[in-house]
This record gives sequence, C-alpha cells and structure tokens, in this order.
Amino acid sequence: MMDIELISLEEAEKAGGREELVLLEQTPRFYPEFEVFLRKKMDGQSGRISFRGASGMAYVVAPLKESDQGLQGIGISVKKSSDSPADPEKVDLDLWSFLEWLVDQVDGDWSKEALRKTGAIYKAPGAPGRG
Amino acid sequence: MNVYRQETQIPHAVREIYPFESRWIDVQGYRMHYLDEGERSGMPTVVLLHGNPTWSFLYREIIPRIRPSCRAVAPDYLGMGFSEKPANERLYTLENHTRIITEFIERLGIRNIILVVQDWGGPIGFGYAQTHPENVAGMLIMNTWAWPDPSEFHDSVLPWRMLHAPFTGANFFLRQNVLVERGLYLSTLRNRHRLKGGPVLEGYRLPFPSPESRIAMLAFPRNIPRREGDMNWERMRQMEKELSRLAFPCALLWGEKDIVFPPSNAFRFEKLIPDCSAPRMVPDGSHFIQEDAPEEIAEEILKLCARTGQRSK
Repeated sequence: MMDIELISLEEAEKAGGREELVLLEQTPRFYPEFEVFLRKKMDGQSGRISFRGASGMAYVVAPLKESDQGLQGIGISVKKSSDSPADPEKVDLDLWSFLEWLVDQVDGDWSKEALRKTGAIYKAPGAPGRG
Repeated sequence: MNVYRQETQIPHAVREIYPFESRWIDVQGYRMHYLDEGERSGMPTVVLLHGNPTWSFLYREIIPRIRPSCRAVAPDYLGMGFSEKPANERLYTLENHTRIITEFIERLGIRNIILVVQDWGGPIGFGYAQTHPENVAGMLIMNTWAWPDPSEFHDSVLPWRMLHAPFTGANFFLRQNVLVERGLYLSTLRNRHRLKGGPVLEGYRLPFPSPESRIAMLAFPRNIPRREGDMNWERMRQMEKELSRLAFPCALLWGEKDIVFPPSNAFRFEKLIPDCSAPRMVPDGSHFIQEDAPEEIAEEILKLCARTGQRSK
C-alpha cells in the first residue's frame, strides 16, 4: 500500500480547477481525536490539507462550506481539470492510503493494522488483502 | 430541506420475493414507506421492526406466513428502505426514530400490538412499548439489546469501531456500502448463501444505491452508547430499568451464533422481564435471524397472537 504525499494547496490546484467530492464526514468529532488531529494538520492559511495519492491525483481535505445545504463536516475532494468523474478504483486506493495515514497518527487505539484487518473482513474496495 | 427520495421501481426478480403493496404516510413531515398486509381480525396487529442495514424486505418471508391469521405492518425507518432520506446525519437519532415510529403507529390507529423486534428494532420498540404499554399485547424479542453497556463486539476497535469511526466510517458505510455488501453475509448462517448474490442481496441493496442514500446506516452505530455520558447512555439505562415493569407477555427467539448480540443477551432479557418465556435458540441462526429462521419466527408470532388473543377475550 502506497503512502500519501502531503502537498501544498498551490500544488493541488495545478491538477485543475474542478473538484469532485469523494468522501463526506459529517461527524468528524464522533471520536474527537480524529477532528483534533486533522485540525492540527490543516494548513493555517487555507484551512485545508492537500495530498497526492499513488494514482498521482491530488486531493483536498476541507471543512464544508456554508453553501452545502447547511450540512456540516469535512469533505475530501479530488482535484481535476474536466467534468468527467474520477476513476472510482483509483479514488478507492487513494482514499484507503489517506485513511491508513490518518488512523496511524490519531491518538488512541486506532492502527493501520486494525484498519487493514477490518478492510479485509469486509472486503472493502481499496483495502489490501480483501481476497 | 436536502433529502434523498427514490421511486419504488422494484426489479422483477426482487418483486417476486417481495410481492407486497407499498404504502406511504407522512409522519412529522417525512414520507414514510411501509407494508400493511393481512387480516384485520380480532387478533392483535403485528408490527415488525427491522434493524441496520435492513428494511421491511427483512420480513418478506415472515409476512406471508402470518397474514392469514393477523394484520402485519412493517415500516421502513427514516433514512432506510424507501422512506425519505434526509441528508443530515444528526437527524438519525434513537430518539427521533422512536418518535417517528410512535407517531406512525398512532397515525395508522393501530391498537393491540404484538411488537416483533430485532437489532435496532429492540431499542426503538422498547421505546414505544414503555411509553404506550396499554397498546402492546406482547413482544417477540430477537437478537437485540436494551441496556447501556455495550456488547464485546460493539466495544472493539476491530472491526466494529473502525467500521464507523470518522472518515473510515464514511468510506466503509457510505462509499463502499460494506454493511450490505458483506455485513449481511457475515451475520447470517443457515441461509448465508443467499447473501452472496442474487435477488436477496439485490433486494437489500435496492434502496441504498448511493452514498447519500446510506447516511442513516452510518448514524445507527454512532447511536450506540459505550460509556456513561455518551449519547443514549441515560436513555438506555432507563430502558433497562423499566424492563421489569413490562406487564405483557414476551417471547425470545435467538440466533445462537450471533457475535453482535450473543445468547447471554437473551438470558439477560429473560431475567429482567417478568412475563418472559425461556429463550428458544436457533443453533444455526445468527444475527439476521429473519434470514435464517423465518419459519420459527412465524411460529413464535402466531403463538403469541393466540396467547394474547385469548387473554383479551
């Protein structure tokens, strides 16, 4: 499983001016350590995290804007230059790497191994060893 | 309001195994889907409450077995089945589900009820029964819980808490739909083969085609309390306390191989509820007992109907 590469927002913007929301977490504080960790990692100026996945695609992790029908939370969007949807298999793999990066660093009982085992049990797309 | 609505266009293969008339009612401003089948006789009305990630489809093999004798009503909760699916996860609380099911029962004017509950049907059904005991004639309790302390499964990071933690949960539940795609299979035993593919799995998938249609599914596990102070801890503590005051007869049917709610839960109910029969174990049954043992469930419902019907004469 490839790691993600944290990149600058400027670097992510180079991938294109369009965004496709690929994951929305409405309750990042359900286990507060997740939100605490992400807020710490967010860029002070932009309030975002930008990363590149193994596919080469760039992503931004950002709080939802007010305009999103009143929903709260943090979304992960892939940056792209066209309207055509991003390849879902590549997105699954990139998201999985992001989740491994996340649970590996969040405080508490969370671990990459537990995530991998869960992914294998439930045969989650993107997870290694899903059989 | 940002909501997900879906036409009930049911493919032929699913319609063959779910041959019921869809009905709709507005409850608290939401369009709720339900089934209402069978005889409106002097017998009690059976209200069938599902869990997560299921819907009234779960009771498709039980309804035909009981409807010659009694009326069977099976609602889909808010955000589940073909009921309306608001986009805001915060709406999907135990309190809200209970309030909506309570009003649903009132709006349909159902009296003299046999409640049949499994998984989340337990906390929602007990929530109704404890506030409207005069309207409940009996209860069939299957693979569920009604107390604040979590089962070992619900307290473990691997796999349960990892499945619904922030971001991992959005991926597993919303993006990948693993609870339907794999969870149903893992939590069924006798008829597990049907959850690998074909019309049964297709039926379970049908109302949940996209991440925005699965938000209630992710909210359910986040409603399970683990520690004092958690959402629903106090509600479920009170629920357990009031089990000893239930004055109607209860029966227990349990999938013995369930690791989510093991047989010890059944014995705990037996101990706590005054008029409760000894648990009937289904040795080759698991969590989704409706998939594993529809004949046994129908038998138990009809026994309860006969018992409570006689009582009310």
